Parts: sequence; C-alpha cells; structure tokens
Amino acid sequence: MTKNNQQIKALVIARLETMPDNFAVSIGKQGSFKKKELIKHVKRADPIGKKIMQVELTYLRSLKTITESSLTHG
Amino acid sequence: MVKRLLITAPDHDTTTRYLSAWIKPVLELARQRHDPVTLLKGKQANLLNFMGAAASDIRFIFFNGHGNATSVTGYNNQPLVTTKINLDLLRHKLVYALACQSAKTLGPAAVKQDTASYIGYDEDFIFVYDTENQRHPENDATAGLFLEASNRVATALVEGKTAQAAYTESQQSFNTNITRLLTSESGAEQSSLVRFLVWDKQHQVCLGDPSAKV
Repeated sequence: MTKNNQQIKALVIARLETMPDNFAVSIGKQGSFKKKELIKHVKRADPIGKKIMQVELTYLRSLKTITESSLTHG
Repeated sequence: MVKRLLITAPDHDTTTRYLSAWIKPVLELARQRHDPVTLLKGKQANLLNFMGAAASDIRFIFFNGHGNATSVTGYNNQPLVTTKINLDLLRHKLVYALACQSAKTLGPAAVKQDTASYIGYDEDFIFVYDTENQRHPENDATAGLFLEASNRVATALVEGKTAQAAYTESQQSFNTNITRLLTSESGAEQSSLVRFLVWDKQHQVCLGDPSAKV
C-alpha cells in the first residue's frame, strides 16, 4: 500500500472514531454498519472499506467548494 | 389536471424501513392536493403489482428501495424495473429513484426510451441513522438530514415544479444540512455525517428533460 493510501486510511479511521457508537451507516443492499465494523472494513481494505475511503476522498476534494458555499450563505 | 402518482415502499430490512417511513410528507402533500396515489407498501411492492399499477395513467413514479446500476427493486429485492424488463412502463413519466446506483445505467437507458425525466443516484445512496431511534424511523432526526434532503425531489415534483427545479431544491437542501453540520454549533459527532451528505449530493443526478413536470 502506498504511503498516501496509508495516510488516507488513518484519516478515515480517525474520522470514524468521532462517530457516536449508536450511529449506523446504511450502504444500500450491502447492509448497515456501526463505527467499529466500519473501522474493521477500512483496515481490511475490502469493498466496504474502499467505499468508505472513496466517500472520504470525495469529501476532501469538495472541501474548497463547501467552504466557499458556507461563507457565502452563512 | 389530476396527477396520478405511484410510490413503492418496501420495508423488508432496516434501510427500506427507513426509506418507507420518510415518504409520509410526500404522501401527505399529495393527499392535500387531491392527487391520487397508488402506494405499493411492504409486500405489495412486488413485480406483479408494479406492472399493473405502472401500466395505468401514472405520471410520476417514486421508487424507494434497493438497486444497482441496471435495476431498481421492491420487496425482498425483487427487480421491478431493469434495463431488460419494464423499461417501457416508464415511458413519458417522471421518475425519482431513491435506490442505489440506478442512475448510472438504468436512468440513461430509460431516458433513451422516452422516460420524461429520471432523477436518481449514480452511486450507492448512503445515510446514517441513530440505532436508538430504529423502532421509530420517522422520528430519527439523524436519518432525516439525508432523507428530507433526498425527498425534496419528490415533494417539489408533486408541487408541480420542473425536474430541474426539483433537483436543484434537493441539492440546496443537502447544502443547507451540510452547512448546518459544519457550523461551530455542531459537535464532532454530528460533523462526522457531513462526508456522507456530500457523497449523496454529488451522486444525485437529473437526466432527461429538465423542464418536465408531473
């Protein structure tokens, strides 16, 4: 795994750690997952884990637009 | 003019129970406007019932359920429409598919076969819910951040707005919720939801005629 991927994985796990224990994430037919389960999937880099990392990357790429929109609309 | 609506609302797992619970505002709006609604709820959201209902003079179909790039499904994940079956039933209609990925391949195929407008998601629709509210999904404010924003498409279409306006209002609703979660009033717990809202917003697409109306 590249260093970049490792860093993203660590970031995703750190973000997931802030999620409340009682929250669950529904990912269509693949099911619903609580925080600890998602972290396991991310560590394994399996399809669910890769999906969560993809979500994080999409979010990171959109940060500039989100920040501008927040500043504009308050 | 009477607008006939068809809504599928399977409830065979947690995800579909949540989707089905959050159609209530759309149903209520349609009933206030005296728009006839055919509701295929739970086990009724099957292929036979869908084919019977959709063959009539339905103008707007609101799918709630699972899906993939080439299909949307009903109760127990039975396919209702795929790129190979029942695409003709969507002809000249407006469709909102709250189902994973269907706008990737099914949506474009439907538009090619004269579906007026197809709004959906070209990736998995992901939402977060509070397991402590699981028995009453309609009261789950966490899930509501996602499902209210998503269902703005359906309510806007029922209100008589164009497909483009409905899509735009839903996108704005996602933006409002994203901005709200990013303010200093929300803790790290709530802000952890933002990435999933951004994902859904970015993967919501509007295909077909933007000026189409129910």
